[in-house]
Amino acid sequence: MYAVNAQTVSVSIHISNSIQTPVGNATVEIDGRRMLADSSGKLLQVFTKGNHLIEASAVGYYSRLLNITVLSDTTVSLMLIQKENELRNVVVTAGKNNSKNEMSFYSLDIGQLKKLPVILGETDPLKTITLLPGIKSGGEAGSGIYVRGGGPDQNLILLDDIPVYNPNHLLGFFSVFNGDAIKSVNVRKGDMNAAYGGRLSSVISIDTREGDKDSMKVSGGIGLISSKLSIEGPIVKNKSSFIISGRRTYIDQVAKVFAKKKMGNNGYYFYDINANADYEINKNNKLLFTFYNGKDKFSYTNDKNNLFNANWGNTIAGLTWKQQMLHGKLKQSVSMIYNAFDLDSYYGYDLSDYIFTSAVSDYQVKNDWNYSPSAKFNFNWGFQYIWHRFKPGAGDITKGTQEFKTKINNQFAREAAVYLSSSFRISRRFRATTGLRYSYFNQVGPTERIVYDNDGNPTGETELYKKGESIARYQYPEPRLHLDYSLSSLSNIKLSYTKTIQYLHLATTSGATFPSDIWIPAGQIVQPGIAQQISIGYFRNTRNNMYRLNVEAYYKDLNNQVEFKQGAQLLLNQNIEGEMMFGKGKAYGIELYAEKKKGKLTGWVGYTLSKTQRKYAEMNNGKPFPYRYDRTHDLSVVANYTLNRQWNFSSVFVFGTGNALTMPTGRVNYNVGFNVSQRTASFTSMNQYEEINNYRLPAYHRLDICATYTPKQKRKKRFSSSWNFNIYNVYNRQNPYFIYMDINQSEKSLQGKMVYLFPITPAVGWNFKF
Amino acid sequence: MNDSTKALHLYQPVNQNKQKHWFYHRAVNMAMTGTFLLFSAGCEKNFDIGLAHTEPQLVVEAYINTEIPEYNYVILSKSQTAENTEITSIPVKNALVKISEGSLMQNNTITWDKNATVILKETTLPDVPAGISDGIYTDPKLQTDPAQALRGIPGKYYLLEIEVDGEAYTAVTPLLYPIPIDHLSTDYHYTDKDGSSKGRVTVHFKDPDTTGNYQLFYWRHSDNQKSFGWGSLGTSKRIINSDENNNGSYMHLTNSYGFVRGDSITYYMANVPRSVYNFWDSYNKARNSSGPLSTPASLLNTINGKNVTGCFSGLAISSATIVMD
Repeated sequence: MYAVNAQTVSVSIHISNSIQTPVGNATVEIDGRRMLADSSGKLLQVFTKGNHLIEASAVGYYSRLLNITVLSDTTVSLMLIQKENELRNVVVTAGKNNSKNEMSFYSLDIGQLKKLPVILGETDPLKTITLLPGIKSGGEAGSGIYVRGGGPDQNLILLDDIPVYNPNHLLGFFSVFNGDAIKSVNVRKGDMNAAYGGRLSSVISIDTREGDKDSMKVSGGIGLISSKLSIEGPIVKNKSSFIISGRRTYIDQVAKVFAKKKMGNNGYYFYDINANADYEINKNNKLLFTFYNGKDKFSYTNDKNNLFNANWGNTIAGLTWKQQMLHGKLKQSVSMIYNAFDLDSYYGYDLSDYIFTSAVSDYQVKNDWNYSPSAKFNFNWGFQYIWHRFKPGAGDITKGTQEFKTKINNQFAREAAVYLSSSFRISRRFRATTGLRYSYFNQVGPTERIVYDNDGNPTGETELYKKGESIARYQYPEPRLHLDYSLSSLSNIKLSYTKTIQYLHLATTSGATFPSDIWIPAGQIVQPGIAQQISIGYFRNTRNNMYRLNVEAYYKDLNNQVEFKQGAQLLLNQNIEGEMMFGKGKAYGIELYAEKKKGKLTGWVGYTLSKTQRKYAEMNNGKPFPYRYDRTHDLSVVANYTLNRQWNFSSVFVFGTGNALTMPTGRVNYNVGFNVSQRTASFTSMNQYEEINNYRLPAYHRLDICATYTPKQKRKKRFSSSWNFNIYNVYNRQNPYFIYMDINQSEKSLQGKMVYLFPITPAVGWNFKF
Repeated sequence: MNDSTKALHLYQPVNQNKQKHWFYHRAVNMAMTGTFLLFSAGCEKNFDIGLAHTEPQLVVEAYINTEIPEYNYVILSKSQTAENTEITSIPVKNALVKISEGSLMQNNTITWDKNATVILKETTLPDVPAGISDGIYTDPKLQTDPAQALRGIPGKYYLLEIEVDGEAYTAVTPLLYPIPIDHLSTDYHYTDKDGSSKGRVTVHFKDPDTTGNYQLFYWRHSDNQKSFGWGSLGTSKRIINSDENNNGSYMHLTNSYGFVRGDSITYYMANVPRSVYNFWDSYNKARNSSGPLSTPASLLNTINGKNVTGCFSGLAISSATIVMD
């Protein structure tokens, strides 16, 4: 297809593991020049005729060195041996070159995730990444992720490059990512590549596995609360494959057997289905298909026959065409994407019935290019266009014979971005990456919206917008800069600046993530969120890459942050813009990360010292207040010890300053009445609040341990299995889930109460594959 | 434009489409929190929270209504520290409490008729021991000349002035025109767990054609026949009705309370301004604001002054009576 010089030849490098599964994104060094294989483990390069040294490496595999002599076009296959008994390096890195320690970036593979202790044995990538510095969880039962002071809606969570609007099951108790379906998790908490945008704080990218191209395989697991099954295999041998993974919780079924009376007709379960298929058209062209569907199904009836049913979940689908040209120097991918989240719910309360539905859906097309003419230069450019459709809600409410019907107008928006990023080596020690993303957002009709006055109050008027008519339009340049200076072959100093814009806000007033939370687009009143972050870091590898040390400091400035007025109605409120308050925020801190990457004992220590504040004119008398998840100290210690081929042990210890909480400053009695015959007074006693987040919960700390037993695999038998034994919260720490003042009106008594979720909690799971 | 229309115009700005979904949120919160705890074997224990002490607030509960002169009163109390285990109220005595009537003028200012200002005095309720009923201020004419006692007039404005411990407090409320109750009906009959026959009452009325109408509902029946005060009446403040989605409709609101067969029920429907609606809406939220899934909510104060909370509620009442069949 392309002319090749007579002195050069084209070499296709295929990297796979011992079971012939491609090792995607492996690092390949050719004569000291580093590059990455694609997701199918392939790399096409032009060689001069003669001898060359190729070294391939990947997370979780021993690196492989090959000395070859090439005289004509050829294919080189490299098989990497998996490090079965070693905790994989957190960062994709090999060799001594410390510049590969990327700033504000972590990558974990599924092998590593599966060996760490987790609650109820459910491998959860969103829970595990909170063990890394600068990334915090909302608490024991929340998978809300708070990255460097940002909110949970400020993370771009991608499943195979497709945004996921609600990554949670059961209010954040579990994430939607099935551990059996995923391959790796990458987190970028700053220093964002210009290809990414639309969220302020981070990019959390979860990649799923491709199917085995050689033979059919089945794997699965039986856990305490859920079971999983995956089937994969070739569609066309060595050319096309598929994988389908499913997971379902069955605690509802178990409860029906063991606690039938207590459970009654109540039940809750969720399921996830992941499906991938790939087709290699030729050595330069490939098609990838991704599908996900997950639902939570909840039903609840109490002794008063109050009934609550709710179903909610995500559906995503994407088709990507990947192409490489100029012998692998030029690559491009085109993706067409659909993603949606929807909720259907019904609540029956005595004489009243409530039906509530809401949804958000996107159609997206994007095109990304990469040109890497040499090790000195690298260019990325591309565009993306998203058509958003928001269905904030429709409700049908019946009280007795009265019916209230409400439908909030749908909203539509176009979001687009173009970007260009270039990375170039200025000198032997100095490398710079500059990028510019230019984003555009346009909320359009058809809709009918409330007209507000200059103070943001509704005027009583409404205005109609035709289909496609512009309602509000925003556009911003988002510059990105990254500087990397090598002090030596083992240590670097890096500096980055990132500006990000977010055009969608999540309407939520609680600490948990509700399925009824609504995404609200930027409009005439609602301004897009803006963040600027500067970070500087020192990175050092020692003892032949056995140890890695990172120190990063950051400062983040946040604008147009959203809170809702006290008592704001988020559901079925046409005037939701009028309920919002806009403020500022700032976050700064220092993150330390020390990792031991080799030997029988591996692991890391992560520590963050940070402060996060918000400031709103209408809140806290205009004074700054701590963000709910401001955590002064945050410590994680992760250790893994390989005893032998059969036994592996791991342990996690976490410690964090307690969350900030708004607690009452006083109590008032109101709605007073007098019962003359009983000579008593009746009233309602209520808490009063003045300052925001004026109280700290006790510190959170916990120790978990895990043992994995892998029985010896019989020779020539495909079947293998492993047992996983977890103990969560080993020393039974009672970490508060929430605290409250219990006012007993009839006994006229008052008592502080604390609710904690997980005492010491053991779990066992069994995994198999054949 | 008459006073009452102006009042509507001034105090009920715009239909803000605040459909009440408190029940829904509560259902979600309760059900899911319950499931959490059930699934995770969650536990609860007593906990010394250790809250900071703050200066007490003056708490004002004041009413002016068109129907029941005895129920035009002001109750003053002090707030307590959040961790004080003593739940009883701390009455505020020896306050100067005045209510004046006013009219809205063409230039949107209110002229107060200071000559007709009523000074409310501390009252001891008959048969209620002193101490329990301290801090209640009523019109003394209720004892001496009930026919001339303070009574709210629809379309007028009312000014509440309080002086206590050297501080002055004020609040204003309009009194709207009552919305007539068309009729009451009984339905949804059932047999309760104790075997008694009960039924529900439905109130039927025509919502005015103007948007932004809000109602509170109270009722008196056998259980609270010998009681005093709005807080002792049966109340459906929870079902604060807004006409956001049903403007101008003929309304049929069924009360979920079960009334015993043969019981005589007097139903009060209070048409209230937006500020009063907002306050009682916040009251409902404040009394239920705890737990991780809710936002802390305080009362939306309508009283002017230093370190004070409460509401001056102007209730334009219409009433009807029915016997449960």
